[in-house]
Amino acid sequence: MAQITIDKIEKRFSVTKALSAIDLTVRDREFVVLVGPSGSGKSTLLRIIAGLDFPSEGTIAIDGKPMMGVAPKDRDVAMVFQSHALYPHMTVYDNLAFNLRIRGIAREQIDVKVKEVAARLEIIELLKRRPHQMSGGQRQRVAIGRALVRDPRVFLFDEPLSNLDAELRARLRTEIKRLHRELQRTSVYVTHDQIEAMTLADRVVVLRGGRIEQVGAPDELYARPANIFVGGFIGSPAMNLVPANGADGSLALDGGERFAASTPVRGPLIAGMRPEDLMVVPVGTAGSFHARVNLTEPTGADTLLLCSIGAKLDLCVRVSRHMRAVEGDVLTLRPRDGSLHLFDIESGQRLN
Amino acid sequence: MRLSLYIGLKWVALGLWSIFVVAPFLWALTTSFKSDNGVTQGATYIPWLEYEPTLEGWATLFRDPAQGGIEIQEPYLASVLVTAASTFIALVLGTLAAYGLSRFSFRAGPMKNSDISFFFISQRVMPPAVLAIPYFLLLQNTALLDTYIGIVMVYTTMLLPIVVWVMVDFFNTVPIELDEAAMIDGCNPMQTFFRIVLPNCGPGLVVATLLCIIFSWSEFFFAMTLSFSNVQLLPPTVVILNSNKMPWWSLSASALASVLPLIIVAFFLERYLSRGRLARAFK
Ligand SMILES: Nc1ncnc2c1ncn2[C@@H]1O[C@H](COP(=O)(O)OP(=O)(O)OP(=O)(O)O)[C@@H](O)[C@H]1O
Ligand SMILES: [Mg+2]
Repeated sequence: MAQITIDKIEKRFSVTKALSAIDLTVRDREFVVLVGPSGSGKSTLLRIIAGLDFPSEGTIAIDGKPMMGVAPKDRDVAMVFQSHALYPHMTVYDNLAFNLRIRGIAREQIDVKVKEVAARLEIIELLKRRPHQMSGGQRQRVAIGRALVRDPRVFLFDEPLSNLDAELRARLRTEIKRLHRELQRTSVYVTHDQIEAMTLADRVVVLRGGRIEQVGAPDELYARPANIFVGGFIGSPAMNLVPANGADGSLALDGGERFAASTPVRGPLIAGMRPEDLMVVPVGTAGSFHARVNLTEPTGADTLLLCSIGAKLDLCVRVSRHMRAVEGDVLTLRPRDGSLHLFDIESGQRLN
Repeated sequence: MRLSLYIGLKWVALGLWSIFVVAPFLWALTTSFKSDNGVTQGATYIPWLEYEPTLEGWATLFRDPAQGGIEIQEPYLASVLVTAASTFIALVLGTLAAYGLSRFSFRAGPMKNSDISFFFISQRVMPPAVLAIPYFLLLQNTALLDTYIGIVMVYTTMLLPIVVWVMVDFFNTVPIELDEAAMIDGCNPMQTFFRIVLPNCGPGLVVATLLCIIFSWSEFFFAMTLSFSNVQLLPPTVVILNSNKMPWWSLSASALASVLPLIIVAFFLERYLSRGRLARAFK
């Protein structure tokens, strides 16, 4: 059992405001991922949960118990750092055993536990090594192991995979997911990487400038971003955000194209279209518009077409690799039904 | 061609420098094994061939003063004691202070951490002559003049800036994440310091210890002005021997004996330092 309740937290560092008005409940056994651009306060929030930093305002509680004045060691949380933070003067075995020793666990029990975790993470043959004698991936594995031996109430991860190459990152990501399935521990995970966020999270928290922009399940965030920021931030390649003008039953895109679409407001707004939601359709299809192909980027299964409408607008369209398009082609495009995201031009909030 | 010229020049430069450094030492070493004849025959360096070596110089160090020996054993022990005590106290206090400066933010009026560190080291900029009279009065008024406690206190003050300066630098190389990982692992601040941070600063401790021993062992000015009869330290004693009508060979032997501990210390610590652990540690 471990539920984290974060209530109206604010954090100031002299002049900068790292977090403001953060309200969040991480449910028992939930895997919550914090994403956001650099400097958005992800690490700060994680460190406040760990007790390494203190909120300027507001409170945090674990299982209803306020954490004000509770030292990190008494919170029963484990943390995996981006820089692995293994103790350089200890072997892997000692790194794993250290927190059990500090807590006065019997030697035989420690040995059993360390070996069990090492087996699970496939680092048995590394137990006698020092951190500097291992590869980045092995070190990060040990760092995860150090958190696992504790069997803590809460796991905290601060970009644990960001220093690794893509292949290793994918492998360890899967492993973390499997571990969470098995252990069912409340986890908070910070990352830059949207794929990590989407694949691992039960719920994703999008932060910007110290504020929560949206909280939701990955597919919810993807399908119904609450504002322009989340729309543009989640998804790769990013959602096309096109200035447009709403009228009765139609939308006029900047650049001169107009197509039939249902819009709740008249006047200027921002239309969001995901690259894969733009379908290439026969000329004359209802609700379609035209765009000229400027560049093609084959990515394997899909090809990205970078198009323009009129003189300036850039539009990314994702098509199957079987579609042959060359520079200069004019495509007829139609947004998939119900895939159009409309945002207020002033506030950036979702309109439909 | 140019490379060999460069290497040649390098060796010449190194050779000249070595002669400059080693010659006085060699001179003292040979003199300490000479007797009357050997010394007056001018500069000779090769034993048995150029002069007849004797142990007379060294023997005087161990002989009772009444029988022509020199009074060096007591000052020697006093110096060992004072050096050990002040080095130890300075290391304990200075290391803890340095950890604080490296890990926490302090404010003393307009001064922040870096200013406080600088304030520490700036204490060493003052020549000891400036401090001698204040120290003299201070110790006199507290009845600590010419006592071990008094001199150890003064030496500790002198050594503290060095320890703080060296150790702050070393602590700063240990990533703060290690402290944080330790705290989450269940350490209190003291455990974090002793079990995680300090073991990763071994070379720093070695450097600091080395400097402390060198400075306190060979310190002359305070030893001269703040102690005279009750506490007699080695450096002033050797200098006073110099002004007495002491035979050259005894003088050389006592001078060499007084640098011997430094040579031993340097030898052991240098081996430890050159293992290059530091560079690898935080990859
Ligand atoms: N110790 C500190 N002192 C002053 N400002 C700080 C401190 N720690 C963080 N900040 C500031 O707080 C803000 C949030 O920082 P934080 O490290 O939480 O960002 P982040 O989302 O983790 O970024 P990144 O993705 O780059 O790790 C930033 O503007 C940062 O400059
Ligand atoms: Mg961060």
